Amino acid sequence: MLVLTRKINEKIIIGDDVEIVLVDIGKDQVKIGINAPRSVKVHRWEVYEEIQKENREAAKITSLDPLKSLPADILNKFGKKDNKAKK
Amino acid sequence: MKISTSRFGKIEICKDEIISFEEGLLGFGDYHKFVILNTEDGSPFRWLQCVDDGNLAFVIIEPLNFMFEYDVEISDSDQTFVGLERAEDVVLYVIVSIPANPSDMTANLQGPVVINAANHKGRQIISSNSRHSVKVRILDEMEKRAAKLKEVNDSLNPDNKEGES
Repeated sequence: MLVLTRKINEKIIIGDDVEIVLVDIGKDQVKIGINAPRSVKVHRWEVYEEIQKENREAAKITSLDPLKSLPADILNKFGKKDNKAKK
Repeated sequence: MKISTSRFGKIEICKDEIISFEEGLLGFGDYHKFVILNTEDGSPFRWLQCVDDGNLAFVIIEPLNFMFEYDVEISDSDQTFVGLERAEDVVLYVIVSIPANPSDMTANLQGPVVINAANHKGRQIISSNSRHSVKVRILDEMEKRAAKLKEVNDSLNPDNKEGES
């Protein structure tokens, strides 16, 4: 891992077109500006982690049978499956 | 072709139905091929069944089956990734989690699955809409949806306000 020391308003360039600027430093947080082409995905790392965790949770479901215990009026309120969307 | 699955036993799938997720889903980067299986007639729930590993499957649902509206921006990089050219080719699902009490089931609105119906390429994208969280209670959204639908219905038929429902 590369560790760089930067002052406020100093920049880092990653590749040819991703520019990172240190906008501000607070007591326990830093503000970072990112200039990147629209094709580059930029997300907070926690978002990735949360979605991964949720996927792992969802993958544990082995059956839809538990839904049968829901009251019928709830089940009837779901929109109906649009079968033609598939093909 | 036939595949063995832990949930449904041996099933016959058609090669043309395979959806390829080049990067896999988040946290499941090694699994690239999936098919969508319908459940009971009329049920909006479907399975996203992995073809590479029969043990892996997710419950999915189209958001508009339980929400009044769901707006998500598909970024340029996501569009390029799945080769999307026409808006009408977008098929959007969200992944469902069902806890011990099924009425608390949730949908992951922050990480929807986008499929290009034209070429069967898919990707789990990340919604930049801050109102989309990974755990949104489905029954809450259904209540909001029912209220909204009633509102719309009432405004279209002002005379029927006292009507049947």
